[in-house]
Amino acid sequence: MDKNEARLILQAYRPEADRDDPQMAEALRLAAGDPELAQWFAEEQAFDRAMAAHLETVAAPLGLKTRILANAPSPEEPRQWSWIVKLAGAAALLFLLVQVVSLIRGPAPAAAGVPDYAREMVSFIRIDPPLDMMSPDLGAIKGWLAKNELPPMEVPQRLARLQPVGCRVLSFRGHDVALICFRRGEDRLAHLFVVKAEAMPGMKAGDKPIYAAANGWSTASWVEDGRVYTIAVQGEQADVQRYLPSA
Amino acid sequence: MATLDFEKLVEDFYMPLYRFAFSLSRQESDAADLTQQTFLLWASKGHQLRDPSKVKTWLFTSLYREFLGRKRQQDRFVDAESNAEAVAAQTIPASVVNQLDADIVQRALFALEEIYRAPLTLFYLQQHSYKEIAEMLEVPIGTVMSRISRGKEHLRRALADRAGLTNSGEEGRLHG
Repeated sequence: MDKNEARLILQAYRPEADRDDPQMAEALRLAAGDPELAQWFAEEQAFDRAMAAHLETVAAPLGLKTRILANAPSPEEPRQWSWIVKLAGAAALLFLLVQVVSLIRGPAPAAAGVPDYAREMVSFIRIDPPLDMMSPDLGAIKGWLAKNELPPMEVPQRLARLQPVGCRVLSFRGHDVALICFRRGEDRLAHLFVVKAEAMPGMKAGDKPIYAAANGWSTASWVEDGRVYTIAVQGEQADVQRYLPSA
Repeated sequence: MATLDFEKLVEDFYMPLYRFAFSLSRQESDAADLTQQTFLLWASKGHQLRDPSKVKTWLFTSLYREFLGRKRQQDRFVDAESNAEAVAAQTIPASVVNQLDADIVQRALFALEEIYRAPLTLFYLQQHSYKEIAEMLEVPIGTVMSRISRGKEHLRRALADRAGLTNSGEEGRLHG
């Protein structure tokens, strides 16, 4: 392998995926022993990292995940009875196995953390989200959510003073999330997300709010009466703090 | 394979699939449709896949085929590889790319010919080896390598142009 071949190969190198590839390994060895090639490769890797970071900022349209989940039919099941019998047998075995493993390993770890939840919720609201129900009346919004079997909630007072815009129902790992949007100033919104506390077993009532930031948005999450409340606004931590019940 | 948790699958892959779809179609609505269609295909045909480790490749390949199918309906596919202009090697430091506005960088990437755009986007999604990319795009491994290499040359030239480095050598239009 000469230097040109090594360059061609190393341009397609992904540290996470190709480390054990024999062709890559040979090119990497060549680069390790050649200062000029090594310098070129370091710059190439930095360029790739920069590009990957920029690509990561491409955000899917709001509600795409919800739309996919809502519109997809149930995955097709095999139709033959023999398959069903085999599947039932396999499921029974799997159930037994899970029981044994859970006895050995103890309780399952928490499914999702607050940063995951906050990041995903912010991804829905980065552009003003399409709402299921629009109303300037908070009572009507809460009524609509209750009718759609969302858990009752106490909107923090400072948020309740803002003009409501409407609401929608989102999904997070199988849990329904109520989103209420409020007008905050002329062209900005504040968003309140409420989900049952089971969605995030790691959070406890009485803990201080957990703050997170993503793409210019700040969030604060806390637990109250068996529900996780999250407020999200564009701006810094101080911008979200002002709407907290304890502010 | 039907037992795979569909919601988990969507959770894990809808964002990278959307990014890939957006790079191909360059339209938000088309990219969202392609992403949704891919999961619809999975819901109806995914159970035929025997090897669970191939789910990712299956999804990306299906999305790419769907895109090509739609594209063929719209216009006759022209392999631009043979017509691609030779690009003089252009150096743009990674530090400059870091400082460029994300929108500028994405536009440069998405403006590339499709034969370069598809493998490069998959490469920069950082989830696939070059062998997986070859499998997804259904081209030989050597072709993927040369397309990534030439794609990067085109990309560097486009970024240098957009950063104002091509002619004047000045710092250019940097963000922040």
